[in-house]
Amino acid sequence: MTEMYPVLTDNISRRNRTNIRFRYLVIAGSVITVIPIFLIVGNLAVKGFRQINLAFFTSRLLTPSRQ
Amino acid sequence: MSGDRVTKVLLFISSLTILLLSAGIVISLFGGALPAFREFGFRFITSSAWNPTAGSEEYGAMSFIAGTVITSILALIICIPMAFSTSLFIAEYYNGTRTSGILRSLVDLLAGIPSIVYGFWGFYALRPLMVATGLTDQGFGVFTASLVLAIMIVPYATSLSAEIISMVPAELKEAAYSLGATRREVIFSVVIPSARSGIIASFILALGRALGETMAVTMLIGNANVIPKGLFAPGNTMASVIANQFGEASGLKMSALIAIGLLLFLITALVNYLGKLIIKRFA
Repeated sequence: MTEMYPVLTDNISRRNRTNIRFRYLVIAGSVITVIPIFLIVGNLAVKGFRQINLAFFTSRLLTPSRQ
Repeated sequence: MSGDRVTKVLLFISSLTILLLSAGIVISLFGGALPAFREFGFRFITSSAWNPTAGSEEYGAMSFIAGTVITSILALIICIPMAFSTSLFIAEYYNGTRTSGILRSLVDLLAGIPSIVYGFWGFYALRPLMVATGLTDQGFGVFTASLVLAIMIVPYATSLSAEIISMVPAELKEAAYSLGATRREVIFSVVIPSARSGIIASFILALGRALGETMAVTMLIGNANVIPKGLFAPGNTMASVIANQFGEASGLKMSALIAIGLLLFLITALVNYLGKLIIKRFA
């Protein structure tokens, strides 16, 4: 009976500790998942923002040799 | 003709069009690949030679098949814990809350980033990090490509998994809670067994996406036409070699590239079929 229904067995504090640890694991995994978004957007913003001006949209892009 | 009949005919034509398009793609791929298969036979699949020199041309797809399979599986291995924990966060722990909505939007945002931007980021941000660790000389390689690929496929696996997890009947979970189960126990004894087939399907969908991904991988894998000798060694994938060499190819080389495209198509179809089998087994 106890083997069939493990949720009814063992001591409560150990189960609670495991439960909390798993919750933190889920939160940590989720945070790790969204970190790349901030890294990618941040990287694009830092590297690309300085290049954006009116001329960027209105002038023809020339190769360095033709500038 | 009644409205119902018109709708029926339109739906039939639409479905038939999709079927004909798929058949057309397979036929044209097969037609284009025939000269390569005729020239090299089964050796085209087992050989890893890639010599485009006129007169001694020899092409084999093994190194690209290995590169594709290794990067995709490694990406899937990296993706599983990330996608699984995020889907539990969204659909189980914080379901219906504002936090869950924000996280869902952020994950969806990941899916909306074009693959070339991932490639850029990998090239300018991740690659120098890999060089700094000393694991690779130039930062290119299977691991760098797989890491970016994993980030790219996370949204697909997460969205579908979260959807499936949120569909698990509340009555089942409440029954387990009423027996004194903790949330973790409910997840492992009720949620996962109920949503197992859907979760597996989501990861297979993600694997399918990883197999065909081109631009980001091309920018990071190193484009060496050899079977990767390690996780940090350069290699090449089937999609990457097509993207890199299609523009300058002709004759037998073009046929070899089309044959690689056909093999990629078959591998993706096989993965989907295996996925369906797994889903049927667990459903």
